[in-house]
Amino acid sequence: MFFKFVIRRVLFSIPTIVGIVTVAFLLGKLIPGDPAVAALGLDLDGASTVSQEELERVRTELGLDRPVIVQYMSWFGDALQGDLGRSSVNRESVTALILRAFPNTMFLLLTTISTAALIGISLGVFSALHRGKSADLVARLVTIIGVSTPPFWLALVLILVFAFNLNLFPMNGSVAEHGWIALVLPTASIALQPAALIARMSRSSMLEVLSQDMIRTATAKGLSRWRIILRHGLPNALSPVITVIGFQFANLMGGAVAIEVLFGMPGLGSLLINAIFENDLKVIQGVVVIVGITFAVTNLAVDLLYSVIDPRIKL
Amino acid sequence: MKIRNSLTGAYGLRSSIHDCVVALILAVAAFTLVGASVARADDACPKYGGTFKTVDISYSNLDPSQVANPQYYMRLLYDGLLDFDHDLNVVPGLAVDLPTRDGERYVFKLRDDVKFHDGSDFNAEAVKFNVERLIAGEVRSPLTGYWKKQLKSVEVIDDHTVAFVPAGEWPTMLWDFASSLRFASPAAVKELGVDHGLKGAVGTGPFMFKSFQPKNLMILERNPNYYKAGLPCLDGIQARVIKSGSVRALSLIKGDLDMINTFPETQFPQFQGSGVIIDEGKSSTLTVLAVNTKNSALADLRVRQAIQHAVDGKELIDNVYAGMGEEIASIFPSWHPAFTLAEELSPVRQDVEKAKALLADAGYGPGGKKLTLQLLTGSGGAHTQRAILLQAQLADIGIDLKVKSVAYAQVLTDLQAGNYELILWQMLGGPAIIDYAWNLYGSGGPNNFTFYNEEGGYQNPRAEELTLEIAKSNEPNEVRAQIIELQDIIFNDVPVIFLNWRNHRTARTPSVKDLETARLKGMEDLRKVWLDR
Repeated sequence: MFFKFVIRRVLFSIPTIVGIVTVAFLLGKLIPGDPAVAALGLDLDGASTVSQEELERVRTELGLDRPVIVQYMSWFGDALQGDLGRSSVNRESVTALILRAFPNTMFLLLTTISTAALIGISLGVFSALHRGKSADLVARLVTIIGVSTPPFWLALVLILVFAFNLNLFPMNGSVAEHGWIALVLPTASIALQPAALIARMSRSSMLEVLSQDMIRTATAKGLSRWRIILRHGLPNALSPVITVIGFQFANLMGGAVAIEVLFGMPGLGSLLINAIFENDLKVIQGVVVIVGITFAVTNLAVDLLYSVIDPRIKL
Repeated sequence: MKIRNSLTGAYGLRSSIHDCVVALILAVAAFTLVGASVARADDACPKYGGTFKTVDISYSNLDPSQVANPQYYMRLLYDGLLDFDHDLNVVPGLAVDLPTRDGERYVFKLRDDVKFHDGSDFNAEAVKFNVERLIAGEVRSPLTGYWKKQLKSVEVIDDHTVAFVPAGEWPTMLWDFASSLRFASPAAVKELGVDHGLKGAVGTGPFMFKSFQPKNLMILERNPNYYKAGLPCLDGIQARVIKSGSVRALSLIKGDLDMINTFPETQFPQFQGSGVIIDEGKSSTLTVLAVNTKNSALADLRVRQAIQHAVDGKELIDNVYAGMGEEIASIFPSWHPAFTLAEELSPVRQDVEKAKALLADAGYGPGGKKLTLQLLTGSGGAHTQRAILLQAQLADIGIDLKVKSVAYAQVLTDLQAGNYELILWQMLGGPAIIDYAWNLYGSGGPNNFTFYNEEGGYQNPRAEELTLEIAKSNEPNEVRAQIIELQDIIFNDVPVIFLNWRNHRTARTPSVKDLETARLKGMEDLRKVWLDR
């Protein structure tokens, strides 16, 4: 049953991924600027040495002189075989570029979502258990601030306070250079918003579960408060929270772009931004495809997690 | 022999034996304490060691054929036959002297003591290999077309003599050799193929490739066998890309970086009281409004002159560049060998009344047609600030300037394609006369985006003649009369609206020594820079 479900979901993902690939290709075509100019590594200052012939030569080399549909089919065919082409700017394999950047982004996202889940669920449960009291009010205020704080602004503040003034963390987010401590500020910058959202969902879900008969029964049976919360309350409250966590994980991929750029982290976000500025079509398309596939995989993982957390859910 | 003691700064030769012994003991002690990093046999640097950390050497590829911005930092890894000094004079590099003329050939004698970082010899074959690789387009380089056009052939005469045969007149040859022809190890290029510049980059330069992440991080280490004895002073260079201006500034103040050379003027106050040294270069960047002279309104000379009289470049310098710029006084920047102060500067100075009169004469303004123009500009920072000021200045004479901010790549594409009315454009030129003459105003000039003297654009045959005459020489005194005449014509014809020159500047920590801010961005000579930490 389980495997059937997985296979069905994977098959359903195919049209989604084909759609993502197509949109990625078309979006690349809509980006302003001439990829041939970008391929020549030019900026306004360096434009003076390029002739029209040179640009035409590079356009031909990049296959940009072919009809769009031919370009698409050719790229799609190669992508199916795992070949996302070569960067038009430095001729490096796009697959290699992505493989180098992907782990950095994943580390950031996994630490972020774990931190956000831990803080969010704890805060939400705490808030629910103290419903209506001042502790609940403070916790809710914190979540409102968390939801409303833009990550890039928070990142700058954290850099100023903890990296510049207190000198506790590096300003640069490179783990290779500074070790895991380099992930603290980037993680904190983007974890606040999802943590707040997870806390809000955890609180409301927990409150709903706590009002159910089974909790009253458990209390009547004389179970300890913590056993009730951890054994009966939390598992039942987690299903909607998992949905939010999955959604936030996918969302974080967008948030990570700004944070990676700000902290100089060589992840997918930085790769994408550079590629957009350089009009490096193949890289843009490759990154969008990978991000899209990660979205699809995340959704699948969330669906599978439901049944693990709550065996009553049949797949 | 003098033994220099870096701790006391004194020289230890004394007449008495006693003093000699004391001085010797002190010197030995000092040397032992500070170690070999203090002085080396040749003593070219006051102090050796340390990694120089900087930002924004944002190369996609480290192959010598690439023109990234700033391209001149390629000198860290590679050398050319010719080099240039701080004043942008061309001097010998890997060639023992400037080339000699032999009929139609230019002959270079090469140094015989130079090796690539991989240990292979630098020789005439290596020169030929690199030039032919560039011309054949084996590397994707903006230089290919230019070199293919200028150069007929390259000939190996002997192991250390090479001759270049130009395709025709090439007045800027020396500068082109110094600025854009650098050499990679043929063995490394063959071994790495298209990955040369990515997974390795082997030149003869003062620093060697250690690691590289395109557009992110470049780490270089000292080349102990650099042909200039005793250089470089630094053990290594680390250049990373930090896109956020605020983080760049904070990193510099904190000491995580030693120097930055890209920062908006709005950050100057941040550096106050921090010990950071801000140093100004010369007027390196020409800021203009490129005018599409094919546009019906802008084809009218009176309209262009009116716009020129409406704008105030000084206001932009004061408000956007924090005073770090120069007003237009010539078509050349003030550091340029061909700089010739224009006798009559009134055509490029603000005169609002005159501007209104010219506009009225052209049929625009009160009682006439309303003139609406679109200004295409990059987005953010100084781009936006300048555009807003220009909008206000043109509003004073009744021109409605619509500002359209787009991505930088789009500005370039539209500029080259002529899809614009006015474009806010910055141009960085070298010491070649042609850069600020034929390139900008000659028909077919690679930076002539205004269609001046081109089909459908505004015509002035005399200006065309002058640009061609000037292009035949790179000696200002030979063409001074033509420069003066061309300058007057250009100021009058207004193919571009002259705004100002923006100064290049660097910001560095006090521990960085012997760093001279260059004439042009990215031309700082880091070989002599040392760190006093």
